[in-house]
Amino acid sequence: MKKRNLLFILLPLVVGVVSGCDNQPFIDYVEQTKLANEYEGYDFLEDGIGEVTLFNNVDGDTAHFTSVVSEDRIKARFIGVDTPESTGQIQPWGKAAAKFTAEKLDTAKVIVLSSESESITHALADSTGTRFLSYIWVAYVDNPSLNDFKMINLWLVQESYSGAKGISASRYTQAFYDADMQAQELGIRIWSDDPDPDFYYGASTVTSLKEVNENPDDWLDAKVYLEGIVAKTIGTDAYINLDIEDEDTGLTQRYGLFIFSGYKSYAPLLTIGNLIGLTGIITEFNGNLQMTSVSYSPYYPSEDDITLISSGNAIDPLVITAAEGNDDKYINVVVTVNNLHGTGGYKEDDSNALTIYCMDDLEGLINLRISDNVHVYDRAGSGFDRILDPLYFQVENETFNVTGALLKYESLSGNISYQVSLCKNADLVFNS
Amino acid sequence: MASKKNFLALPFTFALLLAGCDGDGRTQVVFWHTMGQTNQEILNGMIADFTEEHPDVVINHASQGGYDDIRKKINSAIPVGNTPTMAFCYPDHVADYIESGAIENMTPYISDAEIGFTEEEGSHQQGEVVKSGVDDFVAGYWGEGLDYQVQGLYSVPFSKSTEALFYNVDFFEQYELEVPTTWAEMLTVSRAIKAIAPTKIPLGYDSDSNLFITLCEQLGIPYTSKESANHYLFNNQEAKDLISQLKVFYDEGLFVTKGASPNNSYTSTQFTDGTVLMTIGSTGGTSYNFSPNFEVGVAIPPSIDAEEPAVISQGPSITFFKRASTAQKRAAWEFYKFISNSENSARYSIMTGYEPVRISSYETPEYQTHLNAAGADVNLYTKTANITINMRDSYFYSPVFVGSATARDEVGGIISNVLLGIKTVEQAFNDALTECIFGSEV
Repeated sequence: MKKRNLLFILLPLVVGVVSGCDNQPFIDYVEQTKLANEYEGYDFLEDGIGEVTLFNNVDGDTAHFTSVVSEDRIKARFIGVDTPESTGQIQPWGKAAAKFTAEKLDTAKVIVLSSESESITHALADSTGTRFLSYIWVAYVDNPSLNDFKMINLWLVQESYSGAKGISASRYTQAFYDADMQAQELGIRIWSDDPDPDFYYGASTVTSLKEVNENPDDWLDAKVYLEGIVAKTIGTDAYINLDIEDEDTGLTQRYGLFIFSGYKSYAPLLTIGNLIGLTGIITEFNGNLQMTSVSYSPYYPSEDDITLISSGNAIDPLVITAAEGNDDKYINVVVTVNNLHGTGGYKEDDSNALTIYCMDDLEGLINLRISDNVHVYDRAGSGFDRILDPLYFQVENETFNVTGALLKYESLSGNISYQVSLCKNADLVFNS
Repeated sequence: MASKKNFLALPFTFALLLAGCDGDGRTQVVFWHTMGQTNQEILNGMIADFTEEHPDVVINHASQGGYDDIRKKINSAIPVGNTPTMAFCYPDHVADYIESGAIENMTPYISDAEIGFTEEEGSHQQGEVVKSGVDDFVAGYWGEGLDYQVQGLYSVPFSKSTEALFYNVDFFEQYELEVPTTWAEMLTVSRAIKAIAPTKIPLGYDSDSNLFITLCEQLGIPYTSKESANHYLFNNQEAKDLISQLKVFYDEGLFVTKGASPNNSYTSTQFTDGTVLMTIGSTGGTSYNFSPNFEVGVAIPPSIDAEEPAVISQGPSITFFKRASTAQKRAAWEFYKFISNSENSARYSIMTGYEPVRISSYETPEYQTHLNAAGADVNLYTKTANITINMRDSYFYSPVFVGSATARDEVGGIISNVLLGIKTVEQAFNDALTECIFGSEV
């Protein structure tokens, strides 16, 4: 709060100095922009506006809420902004933006979501169909009037945590663009060359897959260099694995790590069997370790780029039983589990991802995870209809073998399970 | 997000920037664009190479969001004099900026004694003649920058693209279907797909506007004209008949557009989801058509006559603003020449899926390697490049005037409104025309 007050005192002075003869004062567009519609008794998903409570913060431009009226869970993507990443990838000012949003939401007395439409109508989902595009209004007094609400989306732009983006056809267009132009002229945070104090710009520490997996707390959020062999790819991402001998015991253990490319296509990461060196940041995603912020350019290389050490080193998946898969030591390692039979499972509410509960012929238990991006087709019909029902895997006397990365999953209630995550449909083979 | 190297380094340098210099006397070029993070990484690489050759110049670049965002931000910046030195643009945008008197005519820069084009930046052999400078650019792309309401060169090509047909190879092979080259073949194949897999949608078209404009171009149906007294020609019976026919095909379940899709979702997304089996979309968005679940093929989009395809030329160009100082504009031109030179244009194309803007780029060793990729090196980009290289002579672009952007938006709206049954064909055309005439007068 102190920091913000200081900013507001300084900003008019700064602008005064910069613009010289103009003496243009800082304009508080957040203060000028008011919530126009009544919200009490309305439900956001049904009516396009409604009071909510915070369920959890995600990052600078996404949060999850619960409707006060219907108690529905709402994944809200903030309209008109795109803050730097702070979850999958870590970018400068990403954590600062996430902290700003969290602070505004955590301390609010009342939170209201509104959609773009001015009339009472359903909220609109984004192109993923699962996140609802929302203006987020917060008030810091009990029983607030409409004038007491401030819009976080616009606040993020005004405070230089995001540019105004995708807002050209909004009723708040001008306020967003004006706040954006003012922020760019002021040149702070994302609009400056100033280093983000929460972002590490230094050199990487050389380590290994063994060290990172055995002492994860020592490496979380650290920028590291390590080596591994591309064992499996999924989209533009990959799992790297490596057999490493313990110097003390002489025993060899296979270690793995998921490499998140940030939706970018990096050639060395996409060929199975490549032994590569990677520089990136170790983070956690859904309870499993991953490396983010990797880079590669064949024509404009930088010192942190992925390096191809050698190719043709393909390693066979570890063949394990279901029971053996219930062990942290195989996390992010590519494994094959044979002779599985479905015993149940579920499809996620807001995606086509499936979790299949499985038992192998030794009666060990493990789950099969089929993400939304991997399509398993019904062998009947045209051969191109996706399986979206766990019952498909519960045919009597029919088993299947699966190859994928072993992951750990902790439910909201704290239950831990282990799952083989399918990377491509050809890795699921039915034993007919 | 914004790039690390960003707009206006510090507030206290702003006054210096107005003079076109940063604190240490270097010339500051401010470049606004709409690039995502991936393309910005490539741009940063080019900037590093450029500033090594030109240590007296600083390039500060920033993504300003989408195409509508950048247009509106620039329209806001023009009256208060906060325009960048150079910016991504569509011709429709430039028509507006020219009207405001904000755009520099770049014609004199082409043959400037100091900073004009040189043969080293790119040349190719045509018979006995070496073609360089303007003659080394793809004619259809360069011509766009000359085709404004006033004479001169007001934009130059950079991230150019066209449309391609992406299809599910596994499905086509399993059912021995031929990839359609004409709309008549498309109808036959789509009905065959519907018979095989009734729950699938045979074709998706990502841009409603492009569908309308491309069909008009191929069928010779009037769309717009540069004649100021008669800009909006699309409200004619042939166009109405065409849209009525499309509605019949849509109701038959043969195709869908982005505008007629739930949540306005891209048909490339529906294609990778497996719901749609063919999709026509921008080659600039090639990566969005990649699927880990089936092999993706690329083909020239269908036309009325397969021998005479007409494919839209699109993708942002770059325009330069008058208000910048002479030193800034000259530095910006040098920077443009650098990022569009033979080598850099080829590299940008290989890494993004956009088209090279120079003919000589196609002949560079790197681009030839890309085109001749084999085995594990074949990917969706290399497939697309091998298709679009044959489309260079088939590009068309629409007339540009103040209001042409509105016309483009409105004809796209006609398609979605009619397909979804929100408006009748007559209503949709009347509303679109009204918006073009009265909307663009405001």
